[in-house]
Amino acid sequence: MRRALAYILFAAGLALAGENTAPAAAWKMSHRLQAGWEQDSNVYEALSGPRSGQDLRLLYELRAGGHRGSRTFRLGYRSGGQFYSGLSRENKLIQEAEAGVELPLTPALRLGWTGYGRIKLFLKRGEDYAFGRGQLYLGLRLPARLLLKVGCSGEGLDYPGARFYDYSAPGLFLQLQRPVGGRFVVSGHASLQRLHYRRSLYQMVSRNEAFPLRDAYQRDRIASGGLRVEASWQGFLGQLGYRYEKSASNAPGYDYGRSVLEASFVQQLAGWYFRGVLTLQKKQYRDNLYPFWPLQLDTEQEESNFLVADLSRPLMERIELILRAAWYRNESPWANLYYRKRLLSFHFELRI
Amino acid sequence: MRLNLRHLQLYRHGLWLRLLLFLLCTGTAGLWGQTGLERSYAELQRQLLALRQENGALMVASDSLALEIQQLKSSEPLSFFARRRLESALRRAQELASRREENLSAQLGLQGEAARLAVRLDDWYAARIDSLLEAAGRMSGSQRQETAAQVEPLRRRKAALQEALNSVAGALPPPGALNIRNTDTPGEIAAKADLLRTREGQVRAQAQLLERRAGQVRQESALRKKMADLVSDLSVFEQRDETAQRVSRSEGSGVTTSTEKSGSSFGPESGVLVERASPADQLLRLDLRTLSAEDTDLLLRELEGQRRVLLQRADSLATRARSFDAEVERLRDQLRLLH
Repeated sequence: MRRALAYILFAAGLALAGENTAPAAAWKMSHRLQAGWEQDSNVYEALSGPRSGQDLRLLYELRAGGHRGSRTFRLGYRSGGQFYSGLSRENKLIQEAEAGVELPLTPALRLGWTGYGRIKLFLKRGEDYAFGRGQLYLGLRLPARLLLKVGCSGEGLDYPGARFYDYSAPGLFLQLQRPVGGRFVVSGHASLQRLHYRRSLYQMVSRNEAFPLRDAYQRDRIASGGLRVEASWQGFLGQLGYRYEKSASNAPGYDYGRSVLEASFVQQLAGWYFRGVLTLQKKQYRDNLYPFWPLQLDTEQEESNFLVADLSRPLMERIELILRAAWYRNESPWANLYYRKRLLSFHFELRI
Repeated sequence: MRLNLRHLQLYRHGLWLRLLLFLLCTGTAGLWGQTGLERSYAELQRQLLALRQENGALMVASDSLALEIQQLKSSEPLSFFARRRLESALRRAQELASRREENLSAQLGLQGEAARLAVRLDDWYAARIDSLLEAAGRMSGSQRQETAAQVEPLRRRKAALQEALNSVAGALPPPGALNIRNTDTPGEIAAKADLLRTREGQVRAQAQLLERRAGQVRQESALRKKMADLVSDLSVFEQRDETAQRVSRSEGSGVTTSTEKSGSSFGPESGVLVERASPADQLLRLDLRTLSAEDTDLLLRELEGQRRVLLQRADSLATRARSFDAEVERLRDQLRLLH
């Protein structure tokens, strides 16, 4: 509990510091504080015998952006807490921070860097983890309103309590974007990542038996590419995208192909905002093994299919009411086995 | 039916021929369009020149009549014949004034048409220069030099056109040049007042466009923030899915527009020539989809600032038009007294 208090104080301190030190002309900062109640139909994300529960959700978010000379800066910080009634094993704190800077090299060429970090702390069990990602890129404005972004990335995951899942992953990415007509933006993207796990490489001896090899580690190569279309007109903003991901691993059981269809939208109607996000995935494993190979310990890292829809309306100038419903069909820590859950929630949000 | 290599070659040749034909047609059409535009523009300029010359002659005649009227008035009391001469001179002055009004109105119409044509021609020059530069970028050696050499005359023609556009300032004389001269007849002053009011209307219309644009920018920015908020919520509490990350990245994303050293903080987009366009025009031409969240806020401030400037200009034009109207009334009263 002391740890929770320390993080909450840290978040509050950061908010106050941000408020007091921001030079008004060059920086723009915004704060968002959200408190809400949530009903979860499957708290433990169980494959069978789900246990429902209710929780209190708190979220603080700080966004800052500005210019100094020709450089553009962007900072973000989010701190969230989830506290269950009678199911304290699931109580957790999440901290996220991100930063970005862009520097123009020529009128058409920009050099940029972005960083993102996330810490998830369970208050009653030792499954905490830290995740980080950095990107260095060049952004080039080409004729015909084309924007090209090309760069390299690096990311890593660390579970202090279980080395089995830890990895580091260097990668390359490319993104090409172009506005089409007055309402659409089309973008294509491709990326290549090499995942270096700290887990030993296993060798299969039968369909459901394996033993670890000494001094050999698992290496996965993930290639992905996709296309996305964004449309906006008269109070509507929507995105639709398709992505294909292929994972090739030196370990048996981890080769798969994944098709992902993603859609999101926000529609403004008479003071109400209607928002939605939909993701549909189809994952196909190459090897026909028993599903005992855990891919990630945190099931929320293994998103599969979900639909989130919410309705929000300002109650006062700075306070908003949000009603949200979400349905999930996610892959469990056991590959190829899925659990379901439904979340219903309402929140009050204060914006400063 | 089985396809062999020969079929494939014929098919390819067919494709090439069709492509070549298409390019020839579009190229010829483009060339014809451009020469047609240039011819029409030159014809309008010739007609305008003739009207200006006629207006000059009318002004000379009007000035000499004004002198004669002045001399006759100064020698009052007038004899019978002198009075007849004065009445005749006043009638002729009236005729000259109405002819000059007709001339100015015809000039105004032609200037509007010429300005519209000039904008189209200017766009054509800009597109042609862009495509030549793009083509030159892909070439090398002498080919590149030859292609680049074609750009220079186009640039000169574009600059001349811009100069002409600026001199007529969107089909109207610059408001600063519209002053009342001693020799102006009431009709001429009224025509100038009308010009000022037309200009005021144009400026107010542009201010309205800026206001509408600011509304659109505000709405789209609010939508992006709402989307980013939902994504943040999902990111913190639930799955860090790829959709969420991508939407969040696009919200504050990518390559932002460069900050130019001109009056406005926002420069033209790459490949689009907007030389000498007014700050308001530059702001209206900016594509919101290429801006980051920070630049969108700057854009909103710029739009609001430019709108205020335009409204002040419109108010000042309205004030001047009213003072011209008052002068017309005063002169007409004087003439009535004289008659």
